[in-house]
Amino acid sequence: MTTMDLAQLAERLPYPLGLKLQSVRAEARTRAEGGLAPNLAFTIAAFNGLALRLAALVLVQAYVRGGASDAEINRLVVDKLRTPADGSWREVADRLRQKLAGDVHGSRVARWFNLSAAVPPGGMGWEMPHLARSERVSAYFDGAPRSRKGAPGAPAKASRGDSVFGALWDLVEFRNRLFHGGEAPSDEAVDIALLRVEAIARGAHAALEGVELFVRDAGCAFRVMGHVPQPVDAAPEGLEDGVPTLVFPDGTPPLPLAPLVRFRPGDASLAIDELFFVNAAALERLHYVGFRAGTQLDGKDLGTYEAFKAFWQKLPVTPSPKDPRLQFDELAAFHGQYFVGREEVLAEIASALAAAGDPGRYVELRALAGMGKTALLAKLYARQMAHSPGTEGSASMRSPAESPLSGAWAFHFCAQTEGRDYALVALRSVMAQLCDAGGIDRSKSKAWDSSDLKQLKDELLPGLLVEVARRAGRVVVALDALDESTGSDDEALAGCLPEHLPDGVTFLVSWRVDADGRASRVDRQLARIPKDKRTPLATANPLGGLARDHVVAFLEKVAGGVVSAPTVDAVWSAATTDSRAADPFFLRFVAEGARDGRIDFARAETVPASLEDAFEAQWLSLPTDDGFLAQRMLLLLGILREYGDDELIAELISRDPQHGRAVKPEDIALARQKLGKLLVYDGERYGLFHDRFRRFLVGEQKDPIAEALGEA
Amino acid sequence: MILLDPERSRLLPTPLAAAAALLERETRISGVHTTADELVGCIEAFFGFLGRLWVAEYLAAGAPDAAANVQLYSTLVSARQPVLGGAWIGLARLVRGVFVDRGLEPVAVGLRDYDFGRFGEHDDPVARLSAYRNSFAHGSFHAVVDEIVAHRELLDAEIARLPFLIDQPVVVDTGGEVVALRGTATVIARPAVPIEPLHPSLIGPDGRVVDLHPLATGRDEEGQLGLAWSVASKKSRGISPQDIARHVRFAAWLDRYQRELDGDVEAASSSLGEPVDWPEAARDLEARVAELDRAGRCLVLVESPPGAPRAGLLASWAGTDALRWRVDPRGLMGSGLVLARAISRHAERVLGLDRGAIGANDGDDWRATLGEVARRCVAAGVRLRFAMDDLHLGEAAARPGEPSVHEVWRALSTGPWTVVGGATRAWSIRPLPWDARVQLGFGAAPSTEAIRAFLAARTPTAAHRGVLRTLANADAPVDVFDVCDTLDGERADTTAQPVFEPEIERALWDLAPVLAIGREARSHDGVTEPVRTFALANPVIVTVAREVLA
Repeated sequence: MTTMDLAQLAERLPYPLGLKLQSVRAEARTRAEGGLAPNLAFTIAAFNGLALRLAALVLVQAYVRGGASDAEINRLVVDKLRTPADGSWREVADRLRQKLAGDVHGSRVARWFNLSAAVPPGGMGWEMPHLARSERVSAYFDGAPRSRKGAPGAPAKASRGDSVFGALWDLVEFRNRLFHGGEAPSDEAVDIALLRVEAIARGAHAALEGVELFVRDAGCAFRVMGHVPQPVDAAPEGLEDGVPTLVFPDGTPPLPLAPLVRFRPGDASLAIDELFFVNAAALERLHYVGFRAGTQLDGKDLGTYEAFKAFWQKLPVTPSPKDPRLQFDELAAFHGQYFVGREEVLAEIASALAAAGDPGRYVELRALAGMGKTALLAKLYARQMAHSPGTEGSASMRSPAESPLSGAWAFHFCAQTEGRDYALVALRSVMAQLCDAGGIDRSKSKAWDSSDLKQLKDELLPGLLVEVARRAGRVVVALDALDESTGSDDEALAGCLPEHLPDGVTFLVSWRVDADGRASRVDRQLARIPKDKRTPLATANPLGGLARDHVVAFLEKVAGGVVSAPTVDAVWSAATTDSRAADPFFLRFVAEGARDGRIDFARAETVPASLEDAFEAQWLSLPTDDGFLAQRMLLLLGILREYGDDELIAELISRDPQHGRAVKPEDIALARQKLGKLLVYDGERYGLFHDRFRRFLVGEQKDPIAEALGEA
Repeated sequence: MILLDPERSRLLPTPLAAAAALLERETRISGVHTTADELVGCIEAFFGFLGRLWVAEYLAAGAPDAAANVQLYSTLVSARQPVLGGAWIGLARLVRGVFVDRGLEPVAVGLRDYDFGRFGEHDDPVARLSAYRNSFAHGSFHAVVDEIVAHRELLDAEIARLPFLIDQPVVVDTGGEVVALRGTATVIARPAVPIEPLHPSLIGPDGRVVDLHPLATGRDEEGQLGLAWSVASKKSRGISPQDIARHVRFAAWLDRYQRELDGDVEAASSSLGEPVDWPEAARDLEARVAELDRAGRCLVLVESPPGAPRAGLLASWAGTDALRWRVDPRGLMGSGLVLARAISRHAERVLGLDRGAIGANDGDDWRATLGEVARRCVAAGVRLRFAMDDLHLGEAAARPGEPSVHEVWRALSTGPWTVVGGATRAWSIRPLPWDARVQLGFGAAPSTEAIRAFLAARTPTAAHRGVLRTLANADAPVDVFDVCDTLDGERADTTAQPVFEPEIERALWDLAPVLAIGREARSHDGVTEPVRTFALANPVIVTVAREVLA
């Protein structure tokens, strides 16, 4: 057993853990000598928090470098990093130490955690063994029954076993009682805590002996160990500039800790050389803290923001709905309300699906933004769901147009809500639908159940398609808006579709194209599917606008009766400004305007002259109070990739020098009420109601997904 | 301290004396900390007396101010509900303002010098006492002794500022005796000046009398005569403040006002001004009217920029037989309800009916009234004519629950009438409905005064003025990006907030009535797209703009 005292040991620990240990030691000594040490308990808590944080960050870094393939752990890490606390670090560390037990870096931490925290017999080698000699303290460590008069502020016994991890755990409880318990800890509790600190420190030294933290910054090198970072003449080879790196003595590859940890040498504004730890991590909010003086810095000021964005992308988080089978009844009802026309497209779809026993293939529907591809597929959904097995209704009462198409059907509508833009969510929902349509009891058969996208798309989905096609005779999977699926080429929904489909299986897919008929991402993702297996719909390549008689039918549905010729003319004229067919998006806009009273079908002059004019009228009608807050919100949402929430929007606007003052989430919530239907919601998050409006606000933006992937 | 000195407090007017007596008794018996509600009672009595006194003074002075009359009517007569503390302060403030503006002197000596402060000011004694009272009244109240004492002292000081409260008692002639209505009623010598029997009155040293009836009344309680407030009642039993409607000085104004509320707005007939000679515009208008009349449609919208003699054009068209109306949100002609009633009155005149024959049973159901007008006109084979100007100002309702002028305009889209409405073009992004539209220019001699007034009203911010300056200095039409670049370049201090494009865009649209707005393809930052362009529409506007900005 080493006879190293804690002061020497502190110098062998990474900074600032060594600094904190020194502080604990100094205050413990003062206390032992009869002096006042009112902050000792807090310093112990700070030491423990830092130890946990360091361990967790090392594990997270090791996990990410290893591929970050576990969706559940990704979710945990991302959640906890948003607003971490000691308990969060503990949870992350606990999960990852088990996951990374075999990892070259993670195993070191795991070993540290597993070391015994017991005071050696006779306290040999320990600096504070005398603390263990008190009866109550030894009862704590021995697990012996306690007397009724327990030491206030102390647990009955060591709660997590006698390991370093147990010690870390216990000290989190100690900290919680200290901050939330309302009573100062007893002497016994502090004694126990000090013993735990010593166990943690000695364990760290034992497990990480020889491991040192270095950083190179602008030509200078620092050894970041002990109580203060020290400039050194030479740093180990291969260090990346500005990146604190753990260097191992035994040939183990170094482990960079950036961007979760950053180093900043002292300058005019910051007098000390300091190591900064991530303290709240999200794309919209990145804060760091230094532990010597409690200095806080924003990620942008520290220059880590871009690196952090890249790091964050390596932790993809997939939402996980309780029931993997998503429902689209509301969406279908919304789109079906004023559905008109499209008979030729529906007929072509029916014809393309009609032949049973065909080799599997893809039937493709392409459309410009707002042309109604979702409405079309929603119409199919409504038709199929209305007449699915077990529903009421006589077949003889249905018109041919309303008759369902035979076979097992599954639908998915990609969108930025409920996680529907994730391939994992989409495939799980589709497979759940196929199971239900094919009579496979999902609760009994877990054959389709997986959170591993690769397994789903490569093994389970193909197998399920074959099985359900065998049972039902035909399978149709309708997937809307492939362009809205998120992720890299092999993670987006289009990239996960089977290259070859079994006989009797048809995938009906839709996506948005540009004015040139292209959608670069989707085209690339589908390129691997043989051309002879792909059938673009002639009537939807791309999907055109509506004919005049359909416009009349539409208006009459909205009005609930005949609409005057001048109004029809006005709507037709405005809806066909760029083409010879009416823009369905504009028609939907007219329908909403009629419902809201902005458009009076009895007065043709109330019909906007164009969609642009309609958007402009809404934009210019917005209130301008609070420094044009409503406008700022909309413009921000126009450029954001994801939906926002009040906190995010408030933070971003507060940072905007144009606005000039801080705003609170409550201010945003109030302003948001005036935006009405310009926003759509997903829980507390919201975004612009349509990409056409986004284009009106901020023009054509780079494909955000391509930009995020570095392809724009 | 008057409030806690029974010898002095009993000399105050009865309601205030009674409240002070309660305060003193509770302080003595139960302690200061229990007297928060008694103190609030004193505050209410104090301001209730002053408010009523001011209204009485105003009526005695002849109710000379129409705006004040409208407020008095609204608060005391038409509301038909009790007037509470803050409302009396509001009325007192309003009426005192009239006295100050017109150099009138109340009968109560020193009353005019008592300043009620401004609504929204929080530090003056009236605001502080009112806030204290409101906290109690709304239940969010903790009776802190220090606060009770502080506010009691504050109130006492306010009472001390008004010696007339003691020196000029309110008196009543009971028919036999004249009694001073103090805390303790005392018989006094009959004054030299006559006072209305049974009406509480306050007599000035100069012999002027202010009659507090019907705001207050004398009341006999257990043999003790005292001053009491009249109480508003929905059932109109007993004397109430609503009875000021019958006050000789108020009744005449009220009668006129009610006639106007019913649609006989005196100013309407001359509201369009004198006819102007604008031949081309007149021909265009007549042609459109003729088209609509043949098609059985009704609404002709005449749009022009500010400065064009549009009102005069409408006056020409109106001739002698059309209803004339110029929307003014500050008065009765801003009310859609009054407009609908005016249409009824006009129809009665044209059809030779008695006043009130149309819509007598409709109450506020203005649509029903218009329907009746239509039916009667169709039956008589009559087609009415209405000329209304400044429609762009009629978007908002004058009062909650009432129609706006725009709603009435829309309701007139069918019926046996021709409605010519004038509006400033491009005033609002949402146009009014119309069956025919006449778009006018500035005319031969635009009114620089009207243009100046428009520009002054529509450039309230630095951004607006910056936009106007850019437009006035531009040689060619500009787009919003041009204006932003110009204003960014003008910023002397680059650390100041950069220009915010939507703010500039809004300022441009606020100036739209005086702009020529086009659309053309332009390139900015390498992107070519169609954008709107803006230019001041007339050299006269450029000149006036430069004057306004100077």
